[in-house]
Formats: sequence, structure tokens, C-alpha cells
Amino acid sequence: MTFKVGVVGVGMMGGNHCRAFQSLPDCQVLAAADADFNKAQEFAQARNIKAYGSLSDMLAQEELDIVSIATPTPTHKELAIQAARAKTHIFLEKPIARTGEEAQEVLSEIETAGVKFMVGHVVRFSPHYLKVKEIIDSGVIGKPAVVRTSRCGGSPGRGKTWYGDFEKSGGVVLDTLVHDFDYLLWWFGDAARVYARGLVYKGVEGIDYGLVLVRFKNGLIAHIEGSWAEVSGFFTAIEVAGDKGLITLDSREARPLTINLRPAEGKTFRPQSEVPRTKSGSLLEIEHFVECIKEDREPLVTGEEATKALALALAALESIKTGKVIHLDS
Amino acid sequence: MTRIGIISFAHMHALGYARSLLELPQAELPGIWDEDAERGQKMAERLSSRFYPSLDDLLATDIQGVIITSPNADHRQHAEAAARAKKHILSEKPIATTLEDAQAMIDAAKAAGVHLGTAFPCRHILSAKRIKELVAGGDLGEILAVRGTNRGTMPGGWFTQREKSGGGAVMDHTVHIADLLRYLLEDEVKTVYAEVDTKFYDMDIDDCGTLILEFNKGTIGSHDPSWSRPNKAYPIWGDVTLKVVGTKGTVEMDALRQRIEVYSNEKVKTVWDTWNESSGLAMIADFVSAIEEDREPAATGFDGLKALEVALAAYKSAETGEPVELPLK
Repeated sequence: MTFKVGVVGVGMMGGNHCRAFQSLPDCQVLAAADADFNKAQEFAQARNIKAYGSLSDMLAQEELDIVSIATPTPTHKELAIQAARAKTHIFLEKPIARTGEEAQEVLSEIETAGVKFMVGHVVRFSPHYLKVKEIIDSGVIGKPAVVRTSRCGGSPGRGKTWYGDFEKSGGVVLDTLVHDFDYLLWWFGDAARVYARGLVYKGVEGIDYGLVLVRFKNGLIAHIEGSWAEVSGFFTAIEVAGDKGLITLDSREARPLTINLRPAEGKTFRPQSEVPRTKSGSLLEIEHFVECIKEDREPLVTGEEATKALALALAALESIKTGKVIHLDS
Repeated sequence: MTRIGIISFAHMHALGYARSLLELPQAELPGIWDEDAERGQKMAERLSSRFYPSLDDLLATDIQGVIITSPNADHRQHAEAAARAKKHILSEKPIATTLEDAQAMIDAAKAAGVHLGTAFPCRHILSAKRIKELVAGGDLGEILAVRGTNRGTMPGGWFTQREKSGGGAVMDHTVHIADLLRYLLEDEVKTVYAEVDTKFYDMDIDDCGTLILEFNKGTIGSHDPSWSRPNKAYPIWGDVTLKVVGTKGTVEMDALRQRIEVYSNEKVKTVWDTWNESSGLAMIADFVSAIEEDREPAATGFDGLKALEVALAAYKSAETGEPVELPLK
């Protein structure tokens, strides 16, 4: 059978989701919806699909099997619930929601609907992070003790989009570090407490930066750096120190290809480095999601796990706001 | 010619400082005392210096200054003896193991009219000086955040004996970055939160931790002082890294990045050798000049005390599970 897919939200992530579904042989993207109907039309025309000004219009007109949501975080709950009530499977961009209560509502609706649901914690599908996990699991570095991670880039949308409204996006600590929280919780189990400092409530225009210190229940200490303050490009790093060894990975040093093209007259030279790959992160996670639907399996990222990653991000934000150590009770 | 003596080779940095004295044309190393006479004699031979079996005898010579590289807890008694003999003092870091001892050293130096410095070579790393220029010149705008690491292999010996060292990794490796940040930001740490633990080695002293800091002017920061580099496998002793985030840009330093990777069947593991200009030599040169010019060394006894206070606050935070406000009561 062919799954009929509708995408909601036609920003960068929506484009990625759409491309991933379109590249799968058993999926067909029929329509795109966006609150900005003009943008939806432009997006849909370029892909020869239908455009809608809202998910409810799209659901009323189309018979969809899968809805893929990549909209601003505070809209996730409402849209996910609409899709669940229409009994479509749901692929939802991270974070699962803006608040813990919203996430619980989504989970309960998903359970009632009995549809497949996965949040786009794409790092779980990143080959370099999977390799780190494999090395940890092999035992070669012993028991992990101190972990440091970084996820750094410029401000998404240069601070001019909804990301720059930290009430909506949660700033770097929620929107970006939720990736790191998710895989760290997956690898190491529950967090016991968190203390964090960040710029999110300081009102620095277009810049956010967060330093989050987490003690896991298994005793592991993790320092998680998130930045929307970089002038250079996006990069990530991870280091895991165990009692028998250490592994380090910095994306800035993992560049197998550098392309130096002589600039055209009057243009400035820009070096271009690439990590060529046959499948993007979005493709890997969406391919997995579709397989789970076909085989009636639980996706790798469960709704409960996505909610835990959100809870840790919210605890870090709470610590930044209050200056207090936040103990997680789950 | 400035004549400097060395008190104890208990700290591994002593040998580097001694070599720096020999390398500097304006300095000499006429005498050495060591609580371990055998070690002192060996070092004296190796460095063409003279071993004094009695500290008083060394202090009775015409040396103008001393470098104290005894175990941390002994710094105070050695500094007080040197001050009584009117010798200028450069103390290995941390300056002491308690604020009381650090203050006593400052007071003793002041009473004797000698200068007291703390051995913080990181201030003399050329990249760090460049960051200082960028910060002071406003190139980075307002400084919003700082993130440092000073991780290392596990030094062993007295470093893991609390009564001599005053603490493990957090004591050993917090003070360098704490001082560097105070120097760069011209600001004091206001709040310290820390997770501290023993996870890499089976011993009764901390070997890892991470600090989250806030400065008086609002700059946030973090620091990792862990002995997390595997002793047998890591290609170099450790690292000194610093990132500064400002409204106008960021700067990142990895001080040992000027490295050459050495692969040898003789060594099996890869070795990183470095070719940066020596910050240790620059620091000893500064101490020698300070004596010649009768001025304070770049990092004073007070700087040593304030850096120590950050490490002590980290231990207090780990003990109480709460952020700790500075200055410590």
C-alpha cells in the first residue's frame, strides 16, 4: 500500500520532512498546510501538491494516513490532537510540546486514537552519535563518568522568526538542547537533578546561550552547552570520559571533504566543507517511522521519552529562572 | 643578576621553573632546599645548583626570592619562613589549602615588605593575552558567557592525599581557570554550583567535577577540572581551553592546540608534543622582573586567594547540594 501524507508547517523542517516522505517509495505527499496560506501555496506549487491554510481544512478535504508536523512549538499540542482525532499516524518535530501538561494531553489523545506517533529526535539516528553509543556499549572506555556535549550555532532565523521569541521557542535550552537531553536520557537513564545558567531571560537580542549541568541517577555528571551565539557555522561536540578511557568527537574536525572554489570576480572566497552522506537525518528518522507503521512496531523514540527530554529542558529553564537546583521526581 | 632559590621539588612544576631560571640570562638558581634530601641533592646536581639540608640555611643566603613548590598544605609555613628572611615569594598554585592560610601568607609578605605572587602561568599564555586584548578593547562587545576546561591525567602521589593537597581534581584544576577568568573579566565570581565526585579511580579524594559560575556583573560560566584524561592512553597531560561569548562575537582557545602528533613504535600511543612559547618561562621571567623592578608579580597572593575561594566554594556546593555565594564566610 501507499501511505498518503500531509505536511503541516512549510518552514525549513517542514521542507526536510516533505523531502524525506517523498523519497520513500511507499509514501506519497498529497498536501501541505501552513497558517500562512501564501507560503503553503508557494511550497505546494513547487512540489505539485495541494495547499491548505490549516490542518483542519487539510484533514477535511484529504484522506491522509500520516500527518507530519513541523510548526512553532506552542502549536504542537493542538495540531497533534487534531491529527490524532482524525486517526492519522503522526510524525511531530521536536520538542513534543511547549509544556509538560501539553505533552501529557498529546500522549493521552494518541493512546485513545491508537495511532503511531514519533517525535523527531533526529540525533538518535545520527551515525556519529550511534557510533559513540556503540563504543560506550562495547565497554572499551569503562563506566561513563563525565560527559560533555555542545550544540552550537547562530540564532535560528537570525532571531527574527518565532525562535527569537523565547516564550514560544524556549530558547536554545529547550529548542536545541532537547536533542542532547533526549539521547543522554536514552543512553544513561533518568536524571536526578539539574542546575543551569543561561541568557534566555536576559533579553539579549538574537543571542541565547546555556550551560546545563545534570546529575543522572546512575551518578553520571553531564555538562551540556547550547549556543545561539555563534558567528561561525553550526557544530556539535561530545566527549565521554569513563574509568577506562575517553572518547571525543567534534563535528568541526569530522569533515572529510573541503571544497575551495576560486571566487567569481568581485566575490569573496568561502571555503565549503561537507560530510557527504546518502541519507539525511530526516530521511533516516522518517524511514524508521514508516517502517514502524508498516510492521506495527513501537518507534525508537517513544512519546514518554520525548516527554522526559522536554521535562529536563523545562527543569533547566526553571533553574535558570530561579537560580535553584531542580530535582526531577520521575 | 636576580638570585632565586627553590623550596621543595614535591610539585612536578618545580623542574620546569628551575629550568626557566637557568634559561633566563638575568636569573640564577644558587640554592635548593627539599624536605626529601635525596631528591633535593639529585635536583641540585642535575641543575648545577647547591642543596641546602636546612631551609634556614638556604634562606640565610643572599637569594632575593624563592619559588615554593612544596605540597599545597606546606606553602604557608614555607612562605612565612621566606617572608621572615625578607625573600620575595612565588607560590605554586593553589596558594594554600584554606583561606586562612592564604591570608596568613599575604599578611606575612606585607609585614616583611616582600612581594608574594601565585604561579598562574595561564595568564602568560599568548592566546590568553590576546583574548585579554579582545575583551578589554571591546571587540567582543559585552561578555555574556565563558566556558573553560582544565582537565588532566591523575597526578597521583601527594596530590591524592587530602592533608597535603587540600583536595583532588577540583582543588588542583579549578584555580588556573578561575584566575584566568578573573583576569580577563576584571570581575569576581559571585555564585558557584558544582557537582564533584570520585569516578575514575578507587581513592578517597575527588577526581572529577564540573562548576557552574556567575560573576558579579552577570557573566555566566562553567568549568571542568576533572582528571578525566586516561593516564596511560592520553597523548598529552591535559588541556587548557576557554570560550568567551560576547554580544559581538565569540573566541575559543585550546592552548595546547599548537601541537605536533608524534606516532612512534617506541611509544605505541600517539603523543602530542607542543611548540607554543612557554607560558611557564614567561611567568618566571615576570617574577624575576618583579623583583628587579620592586613590583607585584602579574598574579598576586590575593589573586591566589580568590582563585582558591572558587575551588573551596565548589566543594561546599557539592557538600550542601546548593549554589554557594562568594565571598565565603
